[in-house]
Amino acid sequence: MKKTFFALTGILWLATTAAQAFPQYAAQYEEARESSGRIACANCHLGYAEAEAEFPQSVMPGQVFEVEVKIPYDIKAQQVVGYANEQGEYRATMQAGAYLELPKGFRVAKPEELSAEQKAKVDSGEWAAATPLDELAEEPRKEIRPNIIVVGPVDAETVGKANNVLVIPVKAPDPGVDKNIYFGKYSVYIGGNRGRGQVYPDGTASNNAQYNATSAGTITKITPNVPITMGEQSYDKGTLITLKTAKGDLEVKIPPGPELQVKVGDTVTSGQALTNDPNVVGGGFGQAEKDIVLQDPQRVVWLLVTLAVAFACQVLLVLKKKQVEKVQAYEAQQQGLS
Amino acid sequence: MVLKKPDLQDPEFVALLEQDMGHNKYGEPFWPNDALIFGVVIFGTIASIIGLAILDPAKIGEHADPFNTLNPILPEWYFYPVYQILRVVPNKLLGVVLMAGLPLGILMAVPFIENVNKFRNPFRRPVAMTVFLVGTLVTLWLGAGATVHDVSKSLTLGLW
Repeated sequence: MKKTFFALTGILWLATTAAQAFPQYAAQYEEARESSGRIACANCHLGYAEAEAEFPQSVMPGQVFEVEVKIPYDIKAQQVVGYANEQGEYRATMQAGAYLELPKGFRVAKPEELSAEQKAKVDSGEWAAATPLDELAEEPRKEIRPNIIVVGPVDAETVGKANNVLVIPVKAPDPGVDKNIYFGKYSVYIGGNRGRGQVYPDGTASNNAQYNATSAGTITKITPNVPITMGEQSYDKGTLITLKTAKGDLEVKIPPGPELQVKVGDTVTSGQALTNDPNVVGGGFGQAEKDIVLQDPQRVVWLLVTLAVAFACQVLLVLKKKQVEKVQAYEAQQQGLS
Repeated sequence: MVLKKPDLQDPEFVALLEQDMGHNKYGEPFWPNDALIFGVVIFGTIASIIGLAILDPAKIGEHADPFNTLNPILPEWYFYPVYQILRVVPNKLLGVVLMAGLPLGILMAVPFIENVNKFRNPFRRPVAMTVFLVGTLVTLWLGAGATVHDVSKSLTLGLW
């Protein structure tokens, strides 16, 4: 069921959208956010790019609020993609995706919890659907954590319309209802992907990466337009570079996308770039951490009472001082000091 | 406001003044004038702390993992300048020595260098004042640099 869903959405993406950005790949990790604080997306997106988020400093129990993940990039930039378009080019605009790890108990707001205005934005697709990451795992997870959410990939057009912001409507939990939730301050971890990664989760390089010589040698042959397979990815029009090394001939597979920078007869050293780096258009992943306060409304009320009492005491003390000064002035006058 | 005038006829008081003491014998009395304002300040401080504690409470972070190093490595903010010294000095041992040596060495030398100066007013102590101002700027610069992940860029704060 899930696999068919995946296949279907995959086909849909291929058919309707151009480029791919996959926050879903994070579902292949049991804990997508490592204890070092690093979000797994950074394993594939080797380019670094900014990402930031905006949401209220504090929220009340049960409140529905909007988390805005800002993913700045040039929506017109063309990147290398994994399949050819109608013109046979492996190029398309970049998609964006977001990873959001909320505190325990927080979850994506259900449609009936949204205001009419927010609901219209979700229905029209202006706000891309946010899904708990665990639901996207290939093997069904025992526990679906509703507070770990991914959005996207969202195509460049939609992202551009929203000024590079992905909005996620979130509902705060109520500690009065759920005894495992407590009022207090918690961390929110945000990740923003844009463009394709350079590595697939299985470790194979994507065709949006720079390819290097695996060994020192001389290029004896370059065979273009051959089908090649790299890991689970196969390409129709790959290039095979034959390297003559000290240990015999060696073939380097270059998928379509990156442009060759060497020609037959060139001598290359080990690790020398054979192609350009196609990911110069600003694709990459960035992550951020921000705090949110789950606030008890009663505490705020009593805080206001406390502040009012403290202010009243201050006023009384100042008044008392004014009174004392008047007495002192009178006494000074009596003693003829002033 | 009634201000008590200094009684310059009192020889004991004058002797105190000559030793730069006895300034509590004139002006506005502590009791009850100042004590009442203390109350105002105490209430203001308590109200501010309670307000911050409720509106912006302290965060309990996630469990530490001793087997995993944070990325990027950063100490608490007050260690930023010292951490930056350790980071930019190419030799680790030298860095450790400078971490303690730079602040301590310079600060400890100041009173000895300025010893010839008989004035206590900071504006009349040019060496101490210069070390303080330059030291503050350098500390802020080092601290800001520690937040720039790339060491080679951190000295210019990545601005150029």
